[in-house]
Amino acid sequence: MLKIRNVETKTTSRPVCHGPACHGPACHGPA
Amino acid sequence: MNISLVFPPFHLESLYNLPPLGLIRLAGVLRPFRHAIRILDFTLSLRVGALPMGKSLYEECARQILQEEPQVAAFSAQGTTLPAILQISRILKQLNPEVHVILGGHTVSCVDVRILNRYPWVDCIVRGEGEAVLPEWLSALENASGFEQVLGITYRKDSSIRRNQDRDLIEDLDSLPLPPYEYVPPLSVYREACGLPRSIAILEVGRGCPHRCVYCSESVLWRRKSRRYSANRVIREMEHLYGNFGAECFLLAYDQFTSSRAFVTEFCRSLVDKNLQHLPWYCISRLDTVDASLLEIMRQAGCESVCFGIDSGSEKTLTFIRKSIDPDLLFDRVEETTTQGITPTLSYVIGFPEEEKEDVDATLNLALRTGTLGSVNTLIQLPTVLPGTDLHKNYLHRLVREVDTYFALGLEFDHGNRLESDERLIESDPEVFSCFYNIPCRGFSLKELELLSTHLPGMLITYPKSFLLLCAETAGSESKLFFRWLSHLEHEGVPIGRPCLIEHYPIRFPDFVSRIMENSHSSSRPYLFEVVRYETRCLEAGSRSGFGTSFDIDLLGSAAFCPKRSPSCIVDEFAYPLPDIVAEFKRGRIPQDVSERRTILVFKQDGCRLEVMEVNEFGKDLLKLCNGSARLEELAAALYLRYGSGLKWEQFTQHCKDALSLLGQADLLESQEERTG
Repeated sequence: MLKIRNVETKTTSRPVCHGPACHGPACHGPA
Repeated sequence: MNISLVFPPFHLESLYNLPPLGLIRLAGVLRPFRHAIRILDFTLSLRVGALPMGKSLYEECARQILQEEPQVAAFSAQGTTLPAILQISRILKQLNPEVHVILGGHTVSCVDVRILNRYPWVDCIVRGEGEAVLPEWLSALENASGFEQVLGITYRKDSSIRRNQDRDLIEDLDSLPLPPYEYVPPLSVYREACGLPRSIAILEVGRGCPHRCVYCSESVLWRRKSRRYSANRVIREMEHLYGNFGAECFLLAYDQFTSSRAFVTEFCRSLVDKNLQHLPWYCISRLDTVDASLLEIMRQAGCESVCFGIDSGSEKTLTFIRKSIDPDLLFDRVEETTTQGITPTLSYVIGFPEEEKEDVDATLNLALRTGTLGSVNTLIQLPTVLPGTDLHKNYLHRLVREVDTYFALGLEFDHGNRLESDERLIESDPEVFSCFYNIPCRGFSLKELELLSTHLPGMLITYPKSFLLLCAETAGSESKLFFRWLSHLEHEGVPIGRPCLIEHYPIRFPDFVSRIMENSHSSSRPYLFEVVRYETRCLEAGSRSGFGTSFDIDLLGSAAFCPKRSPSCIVDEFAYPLPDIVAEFKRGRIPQDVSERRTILVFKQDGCRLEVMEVNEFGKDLLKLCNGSARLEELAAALYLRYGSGLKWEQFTQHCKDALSLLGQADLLESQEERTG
């Protein structure tokens, strides 16, 4: 009777300055 | 001896800071020699307000270093912080000429002679691994035995500069002591100072890289050799940081983390065996050294995020960079990564000197297509010119100062601007301070590239699908269309500064698409507007985000229970098959020739997780009726006429109950606790 299916799943996050481990003096990876 | 190990001041509000691992490692190797060692982390001091921003900052740093009357001040230098270090050490030397100033780090290792030539207050530069050099150098200093035998240093002797031979790389990294974190404030101080939810520790897993990318100093400094700690040793360090210093998650710093499958497998299995898989960690990888099965093992062992350097969508540029990765792997890897629940960070670079417009557009196109996959963290950066790299060697004569790349920010200590003295220093020496300079690009001005790198990531998390379709529709280039979008925003009175503009997207982008299409004579993609509406709904669901609405199906047994649709879910109808369109984007393709088909979609966001589901007509009507005041029997009665033909009443009621159970499992209904609580 009920039909339900996933179309897409996504995590929404704002853009960050750099990745999880970076080469600069600081980081902005996921905390 | 009294030794001050100094991490210079640096501040970028949007980033977080970690304890200075290089200096902590040095403290570890110096400890057995009975020196009095202290680590001064001026970056943390700035964060916690123990140092004043402003023109007197460097004087204050020098004063604080001298408080303990050190014989040696050893600075950990990076390209960005080098101006601050040279200024602080100059003042230091003026105040006390007896203090020995020694610098280490990638940048200074590559411009050692020039620094000693131009900045006479610097006594010595360590090239390469400080752990091996510093104890010997200190011993030579203490015994006044001369530095001739200390390999891997460049130093001053009388009026000349001596460059001793390179030192062999440390063969067995496991022989280095565990970093003694007791020399720095607790990790919780860093966490609180930076407003982080968890205490983060950075771990070194290895050094070096065998590849030859033109922009990278890592492979140059470590002579293209890659060395690793053993898996056991890395885990021992994690246990040490977790058990003794309260680390709650780990950054595993090593570009080649996944280069050995055997290493990663052993590392992950050991973490699980030791029951440490609850400790989250992040790492760096390459598209060609992971696959679905390895990612699964990594996820089970606690991996939360992986950074991939994609760099470019242009084959010509990839050849220029000397990067040899098959870009076709990208979409498979991203899907495999997100399927495991690991967040991929994809790093792109635009504006290499030989790039034409179409090369940059190819990269923007690739970034947009990966943006359509969702769950992806995208970085778009301009190249940074680091000493020692081929970019530095080949383009030094063409350096200009126009825009600040990521590696040029963090010294804005004078009301948001760099100190005048830093500016003069940087201006006077492009070779040493190259990371504050740019190389002009053939296809775009540097200002244009800066606009693209700053603002395109906003499009990637709001309307990537619509933007790509609009681009295909107008047969224009990605960059050209994006600049039109920025002009549109400006025309609407939105200032195009450095901050992210994404709050303007849902309000203004649909209108922008309409305007562009007004001027277009014919549309081969009439579903474009439906895709815009789809992405707008995704953003609206985000703004209504709720948390953890798990639904207890047992409640359905209660005659008094009245199901209620979660207020954070949105139900909407579309004239085109959005599930097919989304599936096409997931394959990395732009949808073509889509026929009309009515589709009902439900958008639901929990925290930062958005789910879009397709439901049938029955599901839509049932959800609509779930207003919190109708019981199961009443819902069934309202739907029986339309959907119950051929079914007995009891059968139909059971169907409705099953359907509610499914909707509950999909978090589309409010739980009883939420409503009463």
